[in-house]
Amino acid sequence: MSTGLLILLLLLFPAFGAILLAGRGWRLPRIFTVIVGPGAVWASFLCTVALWFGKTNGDFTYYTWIKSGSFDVPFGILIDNLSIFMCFVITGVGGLIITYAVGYMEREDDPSYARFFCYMDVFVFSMLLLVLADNFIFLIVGWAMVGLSSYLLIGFWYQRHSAVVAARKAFVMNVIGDVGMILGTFVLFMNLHSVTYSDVFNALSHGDNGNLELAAFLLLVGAIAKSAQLPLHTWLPDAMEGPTPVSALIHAATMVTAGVYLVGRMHPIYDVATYAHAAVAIVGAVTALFAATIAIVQVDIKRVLAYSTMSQIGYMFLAVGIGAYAAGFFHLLSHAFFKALLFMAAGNVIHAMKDEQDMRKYGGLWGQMRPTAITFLVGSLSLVGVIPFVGFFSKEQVLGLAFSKPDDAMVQVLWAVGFATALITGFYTGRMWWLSFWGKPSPQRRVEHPHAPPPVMMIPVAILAILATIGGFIQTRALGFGPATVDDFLSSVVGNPAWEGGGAEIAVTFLTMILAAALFVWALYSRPWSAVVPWAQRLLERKYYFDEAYHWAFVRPTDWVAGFALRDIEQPVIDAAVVDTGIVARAGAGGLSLTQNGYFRNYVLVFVGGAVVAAVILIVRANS
Amino acid sequence: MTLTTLWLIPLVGGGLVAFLPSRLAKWFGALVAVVALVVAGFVAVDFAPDYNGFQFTEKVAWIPQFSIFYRLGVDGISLWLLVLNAFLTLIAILATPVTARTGGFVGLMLAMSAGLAGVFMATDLVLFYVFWEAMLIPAYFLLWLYGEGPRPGWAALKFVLYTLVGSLLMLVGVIGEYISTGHQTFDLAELAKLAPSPSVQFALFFVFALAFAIKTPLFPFHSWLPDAYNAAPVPMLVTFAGVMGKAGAYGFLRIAVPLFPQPVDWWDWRWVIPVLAVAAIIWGALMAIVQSDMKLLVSYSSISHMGFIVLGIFAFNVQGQQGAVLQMVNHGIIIAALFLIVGWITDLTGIRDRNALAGLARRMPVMAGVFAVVTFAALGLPGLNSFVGEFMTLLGAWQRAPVLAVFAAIGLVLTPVYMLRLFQGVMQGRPVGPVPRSDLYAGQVSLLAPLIILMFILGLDPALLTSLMTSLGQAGLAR
Repeated sequence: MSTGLLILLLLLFPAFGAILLAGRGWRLPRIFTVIVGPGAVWASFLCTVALWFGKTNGDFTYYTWIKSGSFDVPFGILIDNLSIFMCFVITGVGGLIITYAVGYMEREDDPSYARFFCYMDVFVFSMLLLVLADNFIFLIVGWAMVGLSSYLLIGFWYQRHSAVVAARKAFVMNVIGDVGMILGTFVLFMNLHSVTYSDVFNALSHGDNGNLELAAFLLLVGAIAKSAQLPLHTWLPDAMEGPTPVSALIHAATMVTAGVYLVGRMHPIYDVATYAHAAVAIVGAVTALFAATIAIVQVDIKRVLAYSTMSQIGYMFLAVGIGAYAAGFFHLLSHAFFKALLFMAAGNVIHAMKDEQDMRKYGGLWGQMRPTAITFLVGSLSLVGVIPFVGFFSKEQVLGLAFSKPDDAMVQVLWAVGFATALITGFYTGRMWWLSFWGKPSPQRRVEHPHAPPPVMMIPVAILAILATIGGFIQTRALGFGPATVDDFLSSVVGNPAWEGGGAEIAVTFLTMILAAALFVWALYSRPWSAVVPWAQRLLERKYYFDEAYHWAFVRPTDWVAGFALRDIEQPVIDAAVVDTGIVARAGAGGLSLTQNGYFRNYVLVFVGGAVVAAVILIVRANS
Repeated sequence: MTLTTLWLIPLVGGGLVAFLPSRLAKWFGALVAVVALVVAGFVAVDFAPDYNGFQFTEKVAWIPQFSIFYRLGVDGISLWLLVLNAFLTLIAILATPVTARTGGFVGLMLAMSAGLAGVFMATDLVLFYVFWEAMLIPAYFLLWLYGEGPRPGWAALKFVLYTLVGSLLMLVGVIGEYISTGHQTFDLAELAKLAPSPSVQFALFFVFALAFAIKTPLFPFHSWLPDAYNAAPVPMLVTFAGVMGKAGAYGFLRIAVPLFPQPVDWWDWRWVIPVLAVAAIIWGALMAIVQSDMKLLVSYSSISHMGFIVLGIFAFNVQGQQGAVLQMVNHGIIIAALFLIVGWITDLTGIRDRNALAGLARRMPVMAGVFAVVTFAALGLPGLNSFVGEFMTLLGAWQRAPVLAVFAAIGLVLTPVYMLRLFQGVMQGRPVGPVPRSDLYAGQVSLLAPLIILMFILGLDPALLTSLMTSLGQAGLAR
């Protein structure tokens, strides 16, 4: 099979799956959905493996999508180590999650069941398009289409009002990001006269630096919106209205990390645009801390995980923002493992608790759901960054690189923020774990004897638990020695950071881990901590009032301005012209006096009358 | 003779149809529309993408004393509007319910379609004007005789008077152009090479642009539109909104842009129009956000989307203008589908207020699916047709002046707000309000199916249309 076809199949398998399911799929037996939905993703996974084995590299152009003057957009796919890496995450972790969903969505009726897997396949297709595109236009296409899939899946239970509103919010906020991407692309096209990556990157030296900064900032708007970073983050917690596998796949493992991919892919631009590049790191670090603090007080288990996702993506932004691209991608991979694991294990609990998501109403599950509790513990320790779990190696590498970046005071500060975040991570993760699994069953718990998850839900969780346990050993740079598989694999695309860590870095690494782990344990004894600072509690529970601020700053004013424009301009001013036209007509027809005319009537009269007079004069002149 | 048949067949066919019994009238009318569509399709297939100038030209002396000729031709700009007109006319006639008065309705629809075809084919300024006025007559009678709501006659009068103000001024412009160029010709291709002095252009641009701005409509000349669209029956809107609105934008592109290329020192209309276009984008979107009447909401969304088209035209570069033509076709398809959907929801529930409906998806799964696709097409989702057109018009605008594109992009953010509020509010959530009589009928689905298929085809392969836009009939257009 030719490579070109293989790449096309990698991309199109999920699309075929979606089309089959969207067609008459749901009228066939449920087993059809079960095979086609996850099967399409696994088929893509096999293609990825094949391409990886074949060491495929290159730019494959299939046809000219649009050509208009110098604006020439090919439908082209770029295969390099970065896109292969992303395809592995998307189809591998994605495959596990979609397989898990076979069990999780069991209670849906047949049409909804097929609809769910159809949307999931649409998502995988869009995400693959996003990472495989070789030009900005198809990047935007993929970018907007993952937004669509996210919208569809958040609003999957469309009879719930809250889900519908959350879906719309996510979509609109993502459109803001899309607009940023589009305008950024315009800037690049205007200055560098192309929209394909290779042409743009090769022409960068001819670009004006100010314009490159502008483009990089505009692209960053897209990245921030998609990755739920400050200040375009408010949609992500609400997105937890979607089914849990959706949260695991889209709102933890893949889509929300697209911003990291974007900055990594555009690294030639960000390497030149230093201000925008610094902004990436700052946004990342600030979001990491910001989200972690909110996670402390959340009581909905999925929302804790959502804020934790924002926080961890903040680390990735920090990494790519300081130029440690491969470290950022390693954390992306590691986060995909442990956060998908956490979401799916939480899904098992939610499933067993009859859709209860309030952790205060769990408790004592350690004894009753032992396998799930163990896997959740693995995920938690990984999130906290305890050796030897994968999160230790990835997060500590990011922090270590920030710590040891020479001659950059700003990065030192950002490291301190990241360090504080790591400690808070230990605390909120501990609180989540103890509340859910430890102690006695909560008196408010509705399910006395939770059922064990079926194998189709347990096996993917177990696989991810194994990956989260041993996956870190592919890259142990945080310890200063050992393999660096991810760094080596990606160095051909994103290069290596220019500086090396030293002994102090490793000491700090262990300090971070030990303190975070201590806080993880301490969280057990600190349940009533919140009463100590009620105003802080309130501030965090209201999520720093971002939702309220946006409501009053944007949503209400838009409605108000629109209403004002309708009542006070559209109807009395703009429409009045036409109303008066009608009066003129009636008056004219009845032969009535026109002496009482207002301004608009005169205006129309002058128009019509003047036109006739002018026409007569001109015709006479033309004839003479 | 090919092009002549394109307006003669609907006109003669329409005349005959008016005297047939209802059921027969509908099907005979559809047959006439099919014939016109086949001829238009033939023109598209036979069209040479590299030819420089108008194609399929016809020229007959009409009033030779004033060098007025009956002159027809198509180029890459008008071709697709011609096809769109023929296609949507067929859809409109098929969507017409059979009642005692169907004959007259279908007849007038065909007559309007003939006038529109003439506007798109005329390459003589006087002939253009004649068709421009001619299409107004059937539109007026359609609104007056077949309009719905409390005061259809009032809406019809508003529409006609407002439009007449513009077009009478345009007549002045036509004559002024003839005199000021001084070469005794009304040939649009010739006139594009014979620009009068800038100060004359200043005046001529104004009168033509006013007529086109009213027709498009452009902010703030749009106030006839909500009333007219509100009163128009849904099948009429398929072409009334889908094609006739494009006549104004087409006029900008065919006449205002190539014939009046130079501004005077102290004033440049070519900046006024794009600013109004951006205003239309935002204004239309804001008005759509506050409408609770579904039909009015869609009407205002149309004003917003037409703004993108005019913006692209006045980008004065190839991406903007090709994007504008592409978007004319895209918008025609989308707005037709939207009006059909909204109209059918109203038919099946008896309600036009979107706030009084919720959760219809449960009862109408097919409608929900179709409506979702059209909603996403309307808000410019990639993969569906509108994305490419809007992207290209914005790219064009950005190259002219980034600030235009930036403000127009606000429209991109507002569009999902009102489209999703409409779609989600009506289709999703807990069911509220009356139970719809049924889901879409098979016949209704088969009418929407070609529109939706085209949304996908044009979204996936826009080059299908743009590859023929390289053949232009006049100088002064970006290529």
